[in-house]
Amino acid sequence: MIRDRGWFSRLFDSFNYVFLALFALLCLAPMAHIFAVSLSGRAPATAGFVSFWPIDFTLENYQEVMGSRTFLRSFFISVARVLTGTSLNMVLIILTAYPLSKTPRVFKGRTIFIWFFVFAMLFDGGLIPTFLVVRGLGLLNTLGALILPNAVPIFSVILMMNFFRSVPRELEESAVIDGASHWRVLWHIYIPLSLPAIATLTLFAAVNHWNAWFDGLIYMTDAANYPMQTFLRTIVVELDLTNVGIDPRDLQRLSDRAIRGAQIIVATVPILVVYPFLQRYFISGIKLGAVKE
Amino acid sequence: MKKRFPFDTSDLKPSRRDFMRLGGTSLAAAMMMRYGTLPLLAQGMGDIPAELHPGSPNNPRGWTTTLPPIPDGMPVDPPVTITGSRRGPWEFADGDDIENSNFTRLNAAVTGIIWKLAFSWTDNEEEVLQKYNLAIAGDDLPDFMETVPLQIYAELLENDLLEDITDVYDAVAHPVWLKDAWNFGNGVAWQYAEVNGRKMGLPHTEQAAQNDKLLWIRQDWLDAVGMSLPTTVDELYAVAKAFVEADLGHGPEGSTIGIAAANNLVTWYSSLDPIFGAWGVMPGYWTPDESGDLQYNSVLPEIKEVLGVLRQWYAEGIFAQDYFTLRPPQTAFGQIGANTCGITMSPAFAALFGLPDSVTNDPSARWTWGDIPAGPTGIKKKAWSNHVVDSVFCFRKGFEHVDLVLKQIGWWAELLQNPENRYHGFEGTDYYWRNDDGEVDSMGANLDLASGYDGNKHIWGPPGTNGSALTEPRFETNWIKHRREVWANIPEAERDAYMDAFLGSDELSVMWDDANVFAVDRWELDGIRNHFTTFPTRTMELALASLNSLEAETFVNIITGQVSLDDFDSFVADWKSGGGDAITGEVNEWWHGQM
Repeated sequence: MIRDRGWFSRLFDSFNYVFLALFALLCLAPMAHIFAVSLSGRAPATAGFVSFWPIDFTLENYQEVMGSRTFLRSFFISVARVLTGTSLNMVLIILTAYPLSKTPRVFKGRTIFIWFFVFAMLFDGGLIPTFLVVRGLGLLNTLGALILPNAVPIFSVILMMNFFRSVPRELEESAVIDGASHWRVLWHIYIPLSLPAIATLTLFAAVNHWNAWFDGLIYMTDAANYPMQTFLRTIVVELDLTNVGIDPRDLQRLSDRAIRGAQIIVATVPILVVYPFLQRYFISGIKLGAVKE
Repeated sequence: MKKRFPFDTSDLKPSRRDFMRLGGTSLAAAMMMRYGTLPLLAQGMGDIPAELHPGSPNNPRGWTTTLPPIPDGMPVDPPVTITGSRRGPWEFADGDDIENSNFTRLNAAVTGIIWKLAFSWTDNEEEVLQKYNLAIAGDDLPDFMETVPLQIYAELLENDLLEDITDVYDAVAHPVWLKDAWNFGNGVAWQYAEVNGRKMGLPHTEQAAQNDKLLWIRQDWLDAVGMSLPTTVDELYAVAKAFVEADLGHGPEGSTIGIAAANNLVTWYSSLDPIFGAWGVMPGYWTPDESGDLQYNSVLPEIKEVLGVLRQWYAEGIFAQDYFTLRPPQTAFGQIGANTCGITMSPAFAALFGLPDSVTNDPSARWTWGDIPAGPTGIKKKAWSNHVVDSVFCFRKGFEHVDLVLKQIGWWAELLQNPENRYHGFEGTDYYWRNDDGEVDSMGANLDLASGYDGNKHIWGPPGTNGSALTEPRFETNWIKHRREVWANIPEAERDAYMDAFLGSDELSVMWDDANVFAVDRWELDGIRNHFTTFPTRTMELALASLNSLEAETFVNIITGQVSLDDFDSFVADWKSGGGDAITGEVNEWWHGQM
């Protein structure tokens, strides 16, 4: 490694760091702004006086958000969805990826299944037919409608499958020699060795569930059952009042920037909190050195 | 042969047209007279349990709500379940929901109707289309469909999925609160709901003159420059110029804006339509010329004159440099609310939207309002706000209980809209008692607006629709007048808590009341009406989008000085050759065909 570098290289590096730091701050700026808005009084917030420091500091917006049944309901629907949806996703991903990671010699129909899944990944049924199926199964307005249609994320299955395939064959063989069944091999060898992949895919699944809004819009025919992001979208997207009936009472909702700010913050914090906990699993290379060849 | 709806406009004849012939004034006067007569108490009213009644008769300072007579044959036995689609959002008291609220409980007792929610949406424009499209595709239309957007309505008509309600309507609709109210202005309310003389749904109407502009101006700034409320366009210009030169606005030096303007010149807030009106024209509108043909106003020579004036104003800094990028609410927040601007031509509800922010941000701000300014030849006109919204309440083809729904709507329309009934909603939903002295807090005045807490929105059918679909277009004005003419004359000691709450309003609310009454009085006198009130014509479908953007770009470029004023003439030529002539022909074909 070359340690002794010229002044230009060092200048370049410091410039790089400064630039990247500024860039990172720039990404945080909108969040910081919304946070300041959420802590501000309504009038200065809507007039656009607030930049990064709250004006007329108040916690009222958060009180109001926490007191709004509609908001809390959608929040808990989202939490329930993330918990059940992510668990179901992970169970199915692992159970699907394990057999598919075997060679066709071990698992006879592997190729057919792979094609089946890839086909389903590339082509879907389309909006209306999918809606009709979900309705026909009686899932409208239930958590099932949000969880079941995408219970097996094929892309994640392929990632998981490839990760399983990179696990050294010898580990499995040694277990099989000792009489381990497939369940045991999966549970005691593959899963512990694949924690980084599982953590990553869990995060993907959780973020997807948290951020999804369109399925909520379609499958929740009653707007009272909207998950968080669907609900947020309906209030954050600005009303175009040119063509619809204007209820002067509704107009005030347009000026609730401070409250919308508080809602966005409340909706963002949970998923931000999940990241650090999963972070430590991202350190790959756990299986390095497990086998001496 | 299958009809090509809605492209074949010759099939579409909104039944009657000329709104100007019969003023609504006489009709409203007739209704006011009815307010004097107390509704008769029907037999069987005692059957409605007291806990279902709106009002607070048992509070020491409470009032009694008079329920209108129960319609014939109601409540139906056994009860009938009807499905409906609704626009949310709503907020409810403990345990209630849209199928079980104060409204549904009283309604079931009165009518025997049990409402079930088929689907709901919130304000989003895409969302409502999405939901209706899914319902159509899934062959699962609700019995009663709330505020169906025109494009869905056209699709439903084309596929014969809607019930023709003409005969039922004639037989059972409430004579005053549906028939008279919607017959207003010789039936203009039915421009969409009636097709080929048949009623295919109920109209969605909002309040009269709701978007009609008034001149809102900072009184403290007028005082500062020693001027008075402008009455002509020239005076308005002088005042705006003085405001800019004195730099009275909040913010860095030189950032004061003379007159608030938005990306559309004719719009619902911070509009410039009164300036065009001062020359007797209205961009984007179709009005009859001397020969009786409809002409498109945007290509008339008067428009060029007005653009010349606006161009000069822009050059002198009367408008924000970036006015053409601002949506109307942004002018309300960023200019009026932020106190960088002291003049806006906005509707009466500006007193509730924009101005309150201004006063909060600068407690010394004092606003006043006046009539729109007159032009050089003394013309004083503004864009007439059509109170008919382009969506329709529809019934599923084959639905058997249209009569029940109509009776229910009539009953609620009367309960809500006749001020004598003293309907102020339900305790705990629409208002609550603040303390033991009997002070009432109206959630209508002090509403938790973020969550849409408003009991009227729980009502199924036009009188309760989210988006102010009352049936009587002068309801708001009648209610203000009633408060001022009847309540104000009651000795203070005898007033109940609700009267107190509303008679002791703050300055801006009083201003809103005044402005509202004034705007409604001038509604038909000063309005320039767009006489083209039907589905887009064939050529419009093809060319309107590009013609509109050509028009918008040309006008912005002229006002901001990017191109010369004479470019207007080439715009006119381009407009005509680019489909404008064909559109004019089609519009007039429709216009003369429906007389």
